[in-house]
Amino acid sequence: MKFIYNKIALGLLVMITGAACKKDYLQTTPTDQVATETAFSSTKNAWAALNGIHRTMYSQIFGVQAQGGQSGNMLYMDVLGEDMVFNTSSNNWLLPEYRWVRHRDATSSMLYYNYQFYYVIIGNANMILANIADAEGPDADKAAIRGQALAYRAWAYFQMVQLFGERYVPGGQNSSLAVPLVLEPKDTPTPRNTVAEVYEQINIDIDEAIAALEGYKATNKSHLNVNTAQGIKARVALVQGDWATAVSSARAARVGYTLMSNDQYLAGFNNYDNPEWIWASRIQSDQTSYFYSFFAYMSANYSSTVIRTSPKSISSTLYNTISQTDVRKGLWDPTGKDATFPTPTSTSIRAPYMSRKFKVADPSLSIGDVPYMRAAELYLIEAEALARSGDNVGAAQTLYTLAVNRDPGYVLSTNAGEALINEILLQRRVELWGEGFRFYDLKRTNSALDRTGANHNASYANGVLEVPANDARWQFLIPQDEINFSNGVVVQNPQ
Amino acid sequence: MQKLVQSLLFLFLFVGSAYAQERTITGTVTSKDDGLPMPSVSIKLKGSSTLSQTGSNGSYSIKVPGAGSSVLVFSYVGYAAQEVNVGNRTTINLTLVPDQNQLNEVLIVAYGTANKNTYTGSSAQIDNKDFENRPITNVMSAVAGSAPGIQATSSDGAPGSTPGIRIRGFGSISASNDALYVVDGSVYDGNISNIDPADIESISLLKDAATAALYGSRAGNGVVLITTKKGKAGRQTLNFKATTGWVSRGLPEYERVDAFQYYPLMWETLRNSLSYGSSRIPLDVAGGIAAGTITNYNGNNYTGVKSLLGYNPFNVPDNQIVSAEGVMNPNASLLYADDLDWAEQAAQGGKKRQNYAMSYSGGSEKTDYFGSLGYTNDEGYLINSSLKRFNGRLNINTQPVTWFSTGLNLNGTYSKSQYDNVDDAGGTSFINPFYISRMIAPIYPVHLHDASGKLVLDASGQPQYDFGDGRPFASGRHTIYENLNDRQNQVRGAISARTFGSIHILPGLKATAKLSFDIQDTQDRTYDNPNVGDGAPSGRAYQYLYRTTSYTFSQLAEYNKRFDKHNLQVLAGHENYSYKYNYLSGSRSGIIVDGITELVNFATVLGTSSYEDNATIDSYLSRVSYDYDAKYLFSGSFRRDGNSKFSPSVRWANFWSLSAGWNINREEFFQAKWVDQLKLRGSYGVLGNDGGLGYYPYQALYDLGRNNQAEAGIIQRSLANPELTWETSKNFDVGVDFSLFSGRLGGSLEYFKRKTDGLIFEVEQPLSNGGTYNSGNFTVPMNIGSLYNAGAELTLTGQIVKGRAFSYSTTLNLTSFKNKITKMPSNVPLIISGTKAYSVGHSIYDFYLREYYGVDPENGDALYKTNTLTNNTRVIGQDTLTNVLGEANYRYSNASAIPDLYGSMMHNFSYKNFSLGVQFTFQTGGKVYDGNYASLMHGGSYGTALHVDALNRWSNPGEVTSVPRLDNGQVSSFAGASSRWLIDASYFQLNNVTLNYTLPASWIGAIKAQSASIYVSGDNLTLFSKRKGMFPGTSFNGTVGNNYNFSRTIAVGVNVNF
Repeated sequence: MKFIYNKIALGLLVMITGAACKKDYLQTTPTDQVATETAFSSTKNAWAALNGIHRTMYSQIFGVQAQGGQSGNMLYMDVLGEDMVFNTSSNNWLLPEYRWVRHRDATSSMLYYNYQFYYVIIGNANMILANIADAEGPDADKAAIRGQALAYRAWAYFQMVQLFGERYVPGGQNSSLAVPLVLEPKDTPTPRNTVAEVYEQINIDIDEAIAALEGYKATNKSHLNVNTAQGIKARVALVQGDWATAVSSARAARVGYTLMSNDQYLAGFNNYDNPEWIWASRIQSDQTSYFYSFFAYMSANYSSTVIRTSPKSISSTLYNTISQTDVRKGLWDPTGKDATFPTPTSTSIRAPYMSRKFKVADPSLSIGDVPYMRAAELYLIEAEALARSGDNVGAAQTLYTLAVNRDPGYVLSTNAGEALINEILLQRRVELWGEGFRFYDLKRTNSALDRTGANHNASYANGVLEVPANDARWQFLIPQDEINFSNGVVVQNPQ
Repeated sequence: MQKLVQSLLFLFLFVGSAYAQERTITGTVTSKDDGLPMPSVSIKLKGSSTLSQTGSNGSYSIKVPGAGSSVLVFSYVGYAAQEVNVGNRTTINLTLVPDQNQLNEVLIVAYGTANKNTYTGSSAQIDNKDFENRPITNVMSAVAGSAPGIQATSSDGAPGSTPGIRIRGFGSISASNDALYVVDGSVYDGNISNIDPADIESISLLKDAATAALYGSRAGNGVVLITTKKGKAGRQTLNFKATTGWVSRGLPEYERVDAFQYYPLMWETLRNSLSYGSSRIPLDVAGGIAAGTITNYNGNNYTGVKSLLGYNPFNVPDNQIVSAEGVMNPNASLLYADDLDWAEQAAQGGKKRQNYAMSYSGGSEKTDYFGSLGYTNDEGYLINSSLKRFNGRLNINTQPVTWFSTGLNLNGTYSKSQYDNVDDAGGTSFINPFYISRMIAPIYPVHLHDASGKLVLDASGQPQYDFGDGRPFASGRHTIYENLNDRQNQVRGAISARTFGSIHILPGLKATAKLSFDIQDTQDRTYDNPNVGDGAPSGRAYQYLYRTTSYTFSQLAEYNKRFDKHNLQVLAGHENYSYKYNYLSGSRSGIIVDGITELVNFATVLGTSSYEDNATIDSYLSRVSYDYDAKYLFSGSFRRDGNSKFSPSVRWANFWSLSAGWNINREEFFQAKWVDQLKLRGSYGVLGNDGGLGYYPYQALYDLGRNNQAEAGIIQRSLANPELTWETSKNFDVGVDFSLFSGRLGGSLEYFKRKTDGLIFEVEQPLSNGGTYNSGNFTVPMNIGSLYNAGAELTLTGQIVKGRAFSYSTTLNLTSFKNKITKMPSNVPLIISGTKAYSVGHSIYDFYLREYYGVDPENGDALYKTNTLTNNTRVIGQDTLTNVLGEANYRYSNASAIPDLYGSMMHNFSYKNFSLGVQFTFQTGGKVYDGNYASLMHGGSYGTALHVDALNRWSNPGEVTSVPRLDNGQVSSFAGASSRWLIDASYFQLNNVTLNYTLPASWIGAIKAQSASIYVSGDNLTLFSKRKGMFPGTSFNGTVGNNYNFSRTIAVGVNVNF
């Protein structure tokens, strides 16, 4: 009998071993992620949330190459224009965009990227704006974080409204649909707002950003300081035809930045220590974006297939307008035979008018700094705005400052009116070639796409050499996913 | 060990001999099957511990008491046990009869075993003998076609790959549809390919609530119980098994045009693009431009189709390949006709499969043991895809004293594999050889050739690969070179341990503590060469270490009581489960010295990272089973789970089942003698499904490590959903099991209804609400609705011929089921997902696509049905049509990926020493969205292969055809996703044929073997589907990809027992 008790005791022992779990046994948390509450518990953490946006500017986006952060948009904007020429169709990267196919295909990844990339930035900015007030930390930090989030949001909407909306017509109603204005974290779909409404919000945000960033000293150029915010405001004003604001903001934006030397101009556009650069990403080796990098598509010397086989050229028409004494003339090789132009390998294709504007900083890694805003652009904005507002003298003088820096033989322009505006726009095309402005500028100025008469091969372009101004194709389609996932709350553009 | 067991055995015999006045009974046991003597038959004196067994010649001797009536019990697995009254005989010769109807078969069930006769649940059990001679390296390959209610994808051709299994339809959309895997009583977190099929005794598939409810929150999709071999009392066996096989590609390629057809088609593409596109060049001029004979028109420069394709594989000048009218130059011949087949050159793997296994097992009354060693070498037909696996297992159970028993089951595995670049989804990466070889146009050579077509040799005289910088498709990439020169090596080590201790407190009452522990370490080492591909231009290397550890600790009390005709079994206990996943990675680029791919040999650090994930479950469980005279059967089970994946407010829930059965044939009134068994059974219960959700699906999180230069950065990763909880599966099952004519005809007919409430769906959020930098818009897992799977299953087994020399049996399995969504969120009644949409009244695999109408005979435009009027629409008959894909509206296509009926048939023939098994699977009805075909019917992407159906394209006004105009500018509109790509999913597949020859006793006597057989077996021998190259069994949801096509394997083997 006693043995039975022993066995019962043993049995009970077996049953209770480990039977009681600790109270927190079921509470698990990840180790490579933090809770949203933690992310905004202090300004120190909120700075990290802002740095995450800076990093997104040069991250591999959505698994589609050529979309290495903001540089993807830059590439698309140039290949859609007439100043960048394809020398072969053997490489498909950017070719359908060159043919004006992808931004009119609602299911293309190019459209998804140009929409969702900016909404990722807006979403993260909205999280900061919604939570920063309650974070522990100095008010100065909160203002600097908030100001940058606002500037990002204004900039992202500005990038998008120009693509997905109809062209902004200064003085017009601008009542056609653009993109949904989402201004706080939310989980319900938002219908599209009008072009006018989106610009209104952009202006509210950028003005608040400028106020909040007053006095903030950025530790490097990947941060958005008051100059960057003013530069964004100048760009917006130029599109909206607000010439006075464009002038004043452009001037304010470039305070503290000087034009680069001619030697620096030929150094490869890969280093944000350049005194002229205002806003840029710096990519270091353990943050490489591999073949997504801007330099894997646009540089002269990185050994990617697309560079080896399809070097990017300037339009011969545009090249021929550049003066012989202009340092920029040396960025392109009209012969396609100049051995001093770098190529990634000895068997790489050379083509007439090919570029060496961009050179990869680290050829083993495809990386280099990517410019988003330079002082030169602000001179051009200021000059154009002055010219369009009738101040020919002021415009010519502003243009002179930039142009003579690039071309010692440049003489002060005596043009006026349309002729002066055209001269400024031509300078703009040469100066900003390859930096992602051309489609925006064509649409902004209501110009037709005209690739005829230059070195474009019509077979490669699938015959797309001309697109009239105001053609439906100037408006990007809304990604089909947005229409599907908003259950039709977001509607499609005319096709 | 053997010595120990022998001495124990001897001890028993010795004790037996101590009785006074005993006498010795001798005799021979033979089998009714073949009349041959049976070795290792166990003979026991009833009511004592005296036992003996037959020797290799079937003879035995056993001592029995001199007085009183003795009864001897003869037993052997697979044969009906016989009790014999000794009387005053001294010689008893006996013939054992195979237990054909297996009514008393022991079933492996949750937390124990059950007798099939009194079991009230629905499960299917696959025994070792069903697959032991098949050339499989992953045991789940044996499951396809083995039972009704089980749907399986064909395991792909990658060595060691695990096929997908679905039990009774599709209960979930976004959460997992995978069954829970339980190995030797505990949830298994290692890879199923770690287990050597030779070690497996049986696989049980638990299909209904009665069988699965004890696994609670993880059982909603059914449970797969894998049980490994144990030693058997009284039988010592040393087994050797060796198999060697030949592997080849099992699925043929799609039919594609050749180079002579391709060039004129692409000429036509360019001509049409220029003529029908915005530049509106007259057709004849465009024809000349495309041929390369016109190079300037209206002041613009043009080049011909050769400049767009990059390559001229013919012996004629670039502008004479195709005429301005589109006629292929009759004088053209290929320069390198033998170097254009990429698929063939990618299929240069080892193509062999070898398996060697040795096991030793045996046991006594108190102890049983099983030990095995196995080696598998599986080399796929694809270059550099292989698996080498070593397995060892030791399984010992002992009861040293009456009140205590314990056991240890230890499995170690080590494998080395070269894994391929074909991901499970069969994607479109440049290094997927199936994608590239399928889609590359038939004009691009694998190797480098000069202008005359001769191979360009390197310094050492070897042919060089053509990296194709001038190729518009996959330019600058080379899937074969990259697969040969990159490295993707995986080393995996896994240990799986199961141990228990039971205290037998009273007869029928015991308390057991069980501990299970699984650890799996996987090291992946990849190297990308610096010459071409992702590693260019400097080369790079990655190393990853993944460690999965999990344990289950259970405390169980079991009570069995039989009084009179009442039979009661009770189980109660507690269990906690803990899972941990560790990840560590490092990567560097810039190779320093050729040939070394360790990280240290690379110059620049690209990144290092690590993290740990944890998941836990805490549970209480109980089961009560009762039967009266094995006639009326009842069972109920209950489990309460707390699960760390869900927020504290919703993390605990109860799961349960109730079931009952009635063995009608045991009733007094039931007089039909020809009925061996007639059992009615039914069950209902509630199960959960927490699979496929990640570890923290309810939490809103930011990703760490998104630094901007040296500044710490975090970024939004996921949104919160504190209400997220289990999918709840409510399972109803009713069935009848029968066995007739002494086991000549048997089977089951069942009806099931599995209802899932709280259906989890990863709800896609609007893009404008933000997202993540790498995967795009947010998705939030939500419990959005309900669905059910309801259907019928039939299995029939017939012993059609049962002769002494020849016998033939066959088994037919049929399943038909319906899947239907019954509830959706009120604010989103329809959710589009890929080619499907979810809404009430439809199955989760109902296609929802734009509807293709046909081709406009005037201009060759593709026409789609639409419901809006724009400048592009027109009305033909009843239909409003558009030629702009984007304007066509989505609609249900009246097609589902779910077949009307699927099933399998097995045939087993035996004649004297030969036996032949044939198994095939089939399905009828259902549709497949053939995305591969769509890609091959692109209608004008330069450099991409075309299906032969492209020859039917529209080419002249007035022509009536279903294939639109070739036009590069219209590729997205004319060949976009639509109902055009749906095709019947019916198929028939011959899965396996095995021929086995049992060597005669006279032959094997020479080597003193007990038995031996040789066999030849072929897997995946043939397939019939609606389109060559298309296999509906690739996936469950009716899509196909560029998968590692399944392999055909033919193997020969030998199996010897000593």
